[in-house]
Amino acid sequence: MKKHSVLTYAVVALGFLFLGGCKSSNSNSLFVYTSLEEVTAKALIKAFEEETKIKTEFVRLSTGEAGARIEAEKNNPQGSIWVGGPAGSHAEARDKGLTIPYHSPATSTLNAKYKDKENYWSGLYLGILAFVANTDQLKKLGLTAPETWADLTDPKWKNHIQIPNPGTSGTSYNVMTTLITKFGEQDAFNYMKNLHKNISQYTRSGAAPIKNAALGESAVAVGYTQDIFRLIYESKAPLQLIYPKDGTGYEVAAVSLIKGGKQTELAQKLYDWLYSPAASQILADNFNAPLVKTKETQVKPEVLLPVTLKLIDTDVDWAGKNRQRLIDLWNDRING
Amino acid sequence: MPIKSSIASYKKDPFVFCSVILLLILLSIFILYPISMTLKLSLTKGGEWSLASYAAIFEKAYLQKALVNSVVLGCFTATFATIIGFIFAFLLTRTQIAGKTFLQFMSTLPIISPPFMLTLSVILLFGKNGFVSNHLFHFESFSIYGLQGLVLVQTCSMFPLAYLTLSGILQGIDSATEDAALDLGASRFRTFLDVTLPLAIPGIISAWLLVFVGSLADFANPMILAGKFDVLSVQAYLQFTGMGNLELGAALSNFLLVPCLAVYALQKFYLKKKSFVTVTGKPLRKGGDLTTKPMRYFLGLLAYSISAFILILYFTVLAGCFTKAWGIDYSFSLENFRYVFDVGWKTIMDTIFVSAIATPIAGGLGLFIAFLIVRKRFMGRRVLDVIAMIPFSLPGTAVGIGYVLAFNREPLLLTGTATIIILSFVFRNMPVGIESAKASLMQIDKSIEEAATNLGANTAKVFREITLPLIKPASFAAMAYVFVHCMTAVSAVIFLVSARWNHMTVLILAQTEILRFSAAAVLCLILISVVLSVFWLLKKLIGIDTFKKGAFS
Repeated sequence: MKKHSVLTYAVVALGFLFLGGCKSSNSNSLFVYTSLEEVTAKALIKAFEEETKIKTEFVRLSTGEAGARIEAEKNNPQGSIWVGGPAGSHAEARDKGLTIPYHSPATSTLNAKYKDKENYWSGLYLGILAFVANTDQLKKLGLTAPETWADLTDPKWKNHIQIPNPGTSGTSYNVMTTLITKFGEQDAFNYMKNLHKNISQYTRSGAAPIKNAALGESAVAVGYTQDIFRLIYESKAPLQLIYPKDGTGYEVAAVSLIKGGKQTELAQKLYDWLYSPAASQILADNFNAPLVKTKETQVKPEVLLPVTLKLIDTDVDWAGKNRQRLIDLWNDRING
Repeated sequence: MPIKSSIASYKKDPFVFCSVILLLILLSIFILYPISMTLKLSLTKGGEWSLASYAAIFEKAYLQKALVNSVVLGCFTATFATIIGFIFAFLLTRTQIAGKTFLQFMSTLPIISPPFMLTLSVILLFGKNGFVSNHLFHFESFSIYGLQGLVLVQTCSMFPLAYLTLSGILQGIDSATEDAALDLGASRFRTFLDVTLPLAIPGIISAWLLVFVGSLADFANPMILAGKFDVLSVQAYLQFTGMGNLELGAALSNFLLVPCLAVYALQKFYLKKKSFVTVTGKPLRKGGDLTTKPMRYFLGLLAYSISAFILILYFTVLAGCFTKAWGIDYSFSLENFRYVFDVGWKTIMDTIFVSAIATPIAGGLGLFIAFLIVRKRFMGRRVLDVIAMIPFSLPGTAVGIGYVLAFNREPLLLTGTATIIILSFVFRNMPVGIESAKASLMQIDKSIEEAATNLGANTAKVFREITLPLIKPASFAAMAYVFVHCMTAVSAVIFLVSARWNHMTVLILAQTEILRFSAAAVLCLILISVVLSVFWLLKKLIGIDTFKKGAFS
């Protein structure tokens, strides 16, 4: 072959690309997958970087997407740690062999109810499910805010309610498992079938429905209180938060280390740090009630749950094991 | 050609031989292998061979509905887009309408925009809390989410495809035939009906199919605007990335592949032969007009209204950039820019970086392959041609899934790197380079190159010193479009981005989804600015006007 053909250029360029590709995966930063809300995640990572000088990069993915991404990359994991997303999904990842156990000394004071028996995951805070209604839209429609789960299926809400897609969103799967725990599987699916008639859109991400409610794109949505409070108190959106009278579910937002992660040691440092007073305070500042806190941690008064509220416990391991089956069933029976 | 003589031709020209072998290896690894991986996955269930995923498409009501919805959406979009594309093409090639430059600009502008930019502005204007729907007029029961919104947005963003195809066809029709009809006393309308329209039919079919496939493969717009109107491309993405049902996701993306390949085959093997178009090289008729005055005003009014509507959509995005919180607080703010540079600076740089690397490689490879195909006679020429053009017809979802599956293990462990994104861009956009180079190569008389060969230059030297300089303008124009495609790609790249390497379109989608419309608008603005400045640079440095029609073919 003669010198300098376009082809040789191309081949050389491709060669460099491969080298470049291999090199970039050996870099020294810690890669984090997070299913926390973007603002909270950013504040946490920034504080962690400043305190430890560990270069950290994160991608926010909704729970289903994070789980799928970690599974797709299992031969070559990009992230070393998964922060946030309901414990049920972390249990599912554990069962699929995608995560590794880690006994963090920082979790010693954590209630055993909120961590995995074999230390595969541990909880950061509880995300409480609630309804949210746009008060302007209610006025326009001449309706009063729903108070119970049964209220949501009233035909008067036709096309006025949004919830996320349970396949992609941990929030929505959490709603589903709560309903099943509350009503039993058969009745829960009948309920969701009725609810479907009122849903205008199933969104991909868990926080989108309440943001749509804030914008008036929908009148009522279901979501986690921390996301709702932020919109009420920071964005001054015309929203009203309603705790369902007949009880509500919650997630244990969890953290796990990813199997085969390239920076497991650094990931452990982040894992420990997430239970530090500094991290707890950031969680609290972002309208969460952290599970591990000190006397100094200042939790926002709005976040405290009303004493009358009935919390519905769901079995995390059961939720993890049945996810695929229940999602298929939902797609088949409800979404069809 | 007989095998013996083709082997002999290889012996005579070892350069061609080496290049063809190398190219076939590259194409096999980066085109055929990923497709075969997706195919294999879709035909398994839990590691065993099974047709379960395909059966599911016909058994499960929600997948059937998605299939039907996709087809319905495709038909509506393709029909409207073809009609509008035809009006623009007709006005620009067959009439003396005023403001041709403006109309031509408007009919190409949507091509250089991020794919769901129009969706964004449609929501800002016509969403439940949109500016028009809620602040100007109060339509309470109107909803933009669903089929109606999608048809509107896809038509606006895809009619340029139809326009480009049809204007090429209309230009190719020798106006002497129309003149003949007019001279024989036919009315202008009669001439249009009996001469122009029949000659344009292959182009119309071709444009319709192109848009149909585009709509079917489009994934970004339905993702945001579909409401409960489920379509295949979104369902494939959700199954694959959200629900962890990789087999079904792969099967659905292959399902998209079937109509795409069918359309491609139809275009390539049927319509090309059927085409009545004759490129005579004669100058286009000047001063003629195929419309009566009222007709011209009517069509002009239509075209201008559509252009105005599209302009409004663009200005909405611009306004969105400077608005504090669209829908809630319309006061002026620069906060969005600060937020975007804070959140997205690295992503913007990543996107420009990967596009800037992929563009010359795709353009160069395309050029070289075109040179071999047009100028050389060798065994496997057709094979090379067909394989290299495949990615053009593949839906992005299938490419993305294929790449994740294929390059996720040793020895080609590429997931999470910039390399995988660049490679997908190179092989997906190479056909653009090939087609444009083919077209300009055919216009160059072969004898110039033969003269050089006779004087003793070998293939490499002829290519470098004769061919390359002659087709340089066309290939730069093609590269400009490869660059645009890289910058605005979403459906394949969304599967390939990682913590380290993100893409602007994926970020725009994410920002739209968390309803930071203003941030998404700022990102769109930045993206368009980058593309336009590259066009401007090309014009300044090399004197190529990328908006001129020749560049698109």
